[in-house]
Formats: sequence, structure tokens, C-alpha cells
Amino acid sequence: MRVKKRLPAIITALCLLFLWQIIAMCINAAYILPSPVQVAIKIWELKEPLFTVHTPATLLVTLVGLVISIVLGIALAVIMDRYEFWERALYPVIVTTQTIPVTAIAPLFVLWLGYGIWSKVLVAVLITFFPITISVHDGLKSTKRENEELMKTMGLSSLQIFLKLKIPACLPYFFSAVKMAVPLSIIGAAMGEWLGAQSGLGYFSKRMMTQLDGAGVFAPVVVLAVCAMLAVAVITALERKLIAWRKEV
Amino acid sequence: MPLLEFNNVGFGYKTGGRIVDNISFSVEKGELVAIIGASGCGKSTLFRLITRLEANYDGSIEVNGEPIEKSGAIAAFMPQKDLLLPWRNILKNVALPLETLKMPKQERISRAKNALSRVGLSGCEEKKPSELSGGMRQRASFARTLMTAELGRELLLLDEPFSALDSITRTQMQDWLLKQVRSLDKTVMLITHDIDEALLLAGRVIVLCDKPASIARQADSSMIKSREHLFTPQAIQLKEELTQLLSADAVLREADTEVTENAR
Repeated sequence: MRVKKRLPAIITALCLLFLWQIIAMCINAAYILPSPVQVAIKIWELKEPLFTVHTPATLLVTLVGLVISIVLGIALAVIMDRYEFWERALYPVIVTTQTIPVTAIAPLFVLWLGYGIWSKVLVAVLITFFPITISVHDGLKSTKRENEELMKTMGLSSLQIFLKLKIPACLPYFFSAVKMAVPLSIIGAAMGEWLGAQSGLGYFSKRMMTQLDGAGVFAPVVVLAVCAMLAVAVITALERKLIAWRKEV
Repeated sequence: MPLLEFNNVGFGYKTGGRIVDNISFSVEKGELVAIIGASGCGKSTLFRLITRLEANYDGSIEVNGEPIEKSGAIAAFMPQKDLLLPWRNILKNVALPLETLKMPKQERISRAKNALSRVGLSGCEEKKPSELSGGMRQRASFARTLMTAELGRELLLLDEPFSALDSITRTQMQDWLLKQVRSLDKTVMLITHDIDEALLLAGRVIVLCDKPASIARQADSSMIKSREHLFTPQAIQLKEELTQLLSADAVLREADTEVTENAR
């Protein structure tokens, strides 16, 4: 049933790969457009550095960036939900942060924080904390006032209302935000590595670029995409398990 | 001494003008009082004042002779919509009020099971609200109200509990509620806009009219003890009088709305 449901997407993806293969074969210049087969061969040839050095490096930056974004996003959302003053003070500032061209100022992060992981983590955090903050904030605001009032009449404290009403009601919003944030965090990490790093898939892709190795540029990009898809699949499975009630509402 | 006494109570929001004015009535222990009036006339505001969701009212509200602010919470409230939490099963929804107490989980579950059995929902403990019909959800909501009452609340406030149900289910639920409240040792206040429902369930009917709302009449309906009694000449006459009162109020409200709209 699940395979049948996904069949259209699988067929579309295979068609696109086939089209890519044909175009690449017509151009016949791997440094401009390598074919999917050439990219697959390159991944196999470079499996050692790709999977033991660069993928773990990028995933570490992604994970640290994501954890910081989640903690920061939830904290900001909760503060804005509880205190109207902080909502009025912070919300416009948070929205403004999204107008900053992160790519343009990312080289500064390397200047400030060096070539270690923190300059890349900062790029990932700047890109991902926004959707998490805004979605969790919307989730906390989504609870019905009448539910809150009913709980008050039962004698539940503000903290109990937060734990028993607001958090469960917010979970669907939180999972949507994390599903959005995971690919963004991976992109942020790779972008940071492009601008200055000693390891990571972004750094590896840039190095292959200088060698005019088209398949070598694509190989880490494919690995990045697969990592993002796997992470989103894991989160979706977790979401299905934890908030099965959403389908039933 | 009455359980609850309103003396010249008035209330309004800063932005929206007065909602209720000069409301005076009392409710004795064990009584079942219905409040009827047009939609949006301010019936629910009285419940919001009793549950202390609203403050800054004029006049005085007393519970057992003491100002309501000095007494603890006295009311278990059943809202118009069931407001069951979709992520909790029925048992956990019903047990929610008991979570305010430091009570062993087993006892909480056992009490909630008793309440569910009382409302005829045994076997539905593990079901989610979405798996129940409208009538069953309202019964679960009533069971949750009974759990709130177990926190030492003497008064049950039922705010149009059956307004969202179809007419057949509503009739069944009214008969069911009548049996339930008669077997409970509680004082009950019921808001409804259905005159038959008020006469059938309550011993006294308070009619709210005008804008801001005030009490137009308090009618004794204790002679109506079953659905058949609704067709006695006395009941029919009372029903007609109340209908006339509410119809006149509806005409006034409509005229008032037109004047307001024209002024805009």
C-alpha cells in the first residue's frame, strides 16, 4: 500500500534521472555535467573520505546547529507566549533577522569564530531558528481560549495548563518546523563549509570544484540530499507515533 | 442561607459596554435553576462571574453568605462544546480535574472509571474523543464535570450542554440528564435557550431580557416533573408567557441592531 502510494514519486524521480543521464551523455563533458552513473561511481570511489571524514563533519555541524536552534526557538516561543511585552519586543526583531543575507555575512563568522565548527554552526542556527521559533509560537497560540478557561475553572495552575494543554497542542507545529529545519540546517552547514573549513561535504565539494571534477562536486551534494531525506523520514516516523491523534481530530 | 446570592450585579467589558445589569437572585442548596434568554444576551456571563473568570463587577455575589472572592472555587463547569482533548483517551480526559490533586494514579483512574460507568460509557475508556458520537462526547464531558465536582464543588454549571446535538439525541440527553441530576446531591444551574428544556429540567426558570440583560421574570416550574407534564394546561400557559416575553425581547434586540447599523 505504502509503495503504491509512493509509486508516482518514484517514477517521476527515475524519469528525471533518466533525462539527466541522456542530457549528460549528449553534452559529453563530465566537468560540466556528469551523468548520474558517473556520480554514483565517484561516490563509490570516494567512499572512504566521504563517509568517514566529511559526512560525519557536516552531520555534526547540522546536529549541533539543529539542537541549538530547537532550544533557542522553543525558549523564544515560550517567552513570547507567556509575556506580551517580550512578544512585542522580540517578534519584529526575529522577523528582521531573516532579512539578513546570511551567505553574504558568513565569511565574517569565519573571521570571528575561526575555521572550527562554530562558524558553520552559527550559519546553520541563523537559518533554522526562525521557522522553529515562529511555528512553535503559532502552536502555543493555537490553543482555544475556552479550553484554557475550562482548565482554570477545574483549578489547574498556569504551569499545568502549559504542560497539559499548550505543549501537546503545539506538537504538530513543532514537528512541521523540525521537518523544515533539518534540510535548512544541512544547507546552512554546507554553506558554512563552502566559505571556509577544513572538512565537511561543503568543503569537499568546493575542493572538487577547484579540480574541475564535476562528478566529485555532485557526489557530496547527493550524500547531503540523502542525509536530509533520511533525517526527515525519521522525524516523520516519530511524528506519526507521537501525534497519531492529529489524523483523528 | 442560600448557596449562591447575586445582589444588584452588573458587569461589562471596558471596550464593549454593559452586558448585565441589576441582576439579583439566589439559589438554594439542592435546587435546579435554569436561565433562559436570547443568544448573546449575557447568560454565560453569569457563569463566568460565578467561576471567577471575570472580576470587577458591580454589586455583590455571595456564597454561603460570604463574598465569592473569599470562598474557594464552588462550581464545576460544563461548557457548551465538549472541549475534550483530542490527544487524551476518554478516561484521561475525564480524570483531568483530579490531576490538580496529589492523588495516586490508581485512585484517579478508579474514580474516573466510576464516573464513566455512571454516564453509561463503560468500555469507552481507551477510545479517543473522535471515536465517540456527539451525545457520547457530551456524556463524557458531563462525567468530567462530575470529577470537577468531586473536588468539593457544590454547584454544577451547565452551559447549553445539548445545543450542538440533533433534536432526537437532545431529547434523549435531556431525559438522561434529568435522571442524573435527580440522583446527584448537587445544586445545578443550567443555561439554555430552549424553553421546554428549561421547564423540564429545572424547578425554577430565570428569564433574562433587555440590553444590558436583567431579570424579566423568575418562574416556578417545579410542577413539571416529566416530559408528559409539559402538556398540562398550567405548563402550556407558562410556556406561552415565557415565549411571549422572549419574543418581545427578540423584537427589541432586532430593532436595536438596526439602529446601531444605521448609525454606522
